[in-house]
Amino acid sequence: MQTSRIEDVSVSSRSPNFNWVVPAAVMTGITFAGGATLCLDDLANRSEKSLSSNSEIPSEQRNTSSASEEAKSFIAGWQPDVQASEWYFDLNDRLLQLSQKEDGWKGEKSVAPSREARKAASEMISKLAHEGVERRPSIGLDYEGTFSLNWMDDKLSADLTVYEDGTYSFFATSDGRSAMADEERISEPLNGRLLSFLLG
Amino acid sequence: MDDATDLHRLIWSPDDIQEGRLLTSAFPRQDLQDAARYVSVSRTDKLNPEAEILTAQNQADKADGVNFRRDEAWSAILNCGEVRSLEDTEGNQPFAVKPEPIIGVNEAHCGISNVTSKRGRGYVNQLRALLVRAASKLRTLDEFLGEI
Repeated sequence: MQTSRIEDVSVSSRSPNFNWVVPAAVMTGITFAGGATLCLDDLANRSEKSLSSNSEIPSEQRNTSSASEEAKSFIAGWQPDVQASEWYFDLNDRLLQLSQKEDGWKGEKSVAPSREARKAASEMISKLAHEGVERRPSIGLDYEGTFSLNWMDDKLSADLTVYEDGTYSFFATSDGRSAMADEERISEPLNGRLLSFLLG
Repeated sequence: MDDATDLHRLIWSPDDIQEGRLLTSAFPRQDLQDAARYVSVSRTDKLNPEAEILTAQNQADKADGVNFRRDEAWSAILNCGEVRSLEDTEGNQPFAVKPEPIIGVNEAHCGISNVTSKRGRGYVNQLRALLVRAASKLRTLDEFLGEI
């Protein structure tokens, strides 16, 4: 069972406007013995307090109002009863980092990830964890503001792209077998063929 | 262009690398989905380091709030012949590699394009997976330029 880590985590990106400290509990999700539910509003409020009291962050770099909104939106997507693999928490940390990108982050006409894109990616990550996927994916941000999950090891090659409309596409291949889809819905059960590759 | 030619893919966003691994985000979907576009690479036998840096700087200058940091840029190598011989799951060879020199700027510039009629999302995922697998010698840009 994953227990909470009571320590703050510093999150930063290349953008100077998003260097802020978020309590680890906000990003990791909490599972307690007996199924006790952590008060999520308390977590969001603690996040805001950490931001306002952190004197190490220059005032021009604090973004308290958007940060607390960000924390709350991420918290809303969390499912505290998930018994998650280790990669789950690291991946969401990286998702949070990539989500701070702004328009033009990768050159002319590159697009920042939208709120819907972030939500869709978060939901996909949770779905994979729910399904018991142990294989650790990498996560990247595409030029168009979509998130992509990759699995590249000795046996498996897979690329999955999550779109802001709540759909995803993928390709996976292993041991001479392959599967591909253009438009699956995150709200529906995970594509069975994809899952067989990720669990295999 | 000879199959033995190596191609350098400039990766100037460190977010396209995670824990030392190249991500599929290093190959833009739109460059593989649009018949008129291609993935930009530079042939190493004609590559000019100053031109390569200038190209990346020009891209960064067009971006809002982004400064090209040479120490954060990476290089991946693809072999021309290997890319041309890659096959999709139906046995088609989807990639063409052609010189696309930018006169006076980057004479070594080339493009890897999807020459099939397939533009579906899942197919583009397949093409990106193929290219990531074909990429090798992932190293910092400075390490790469130091060896030219």
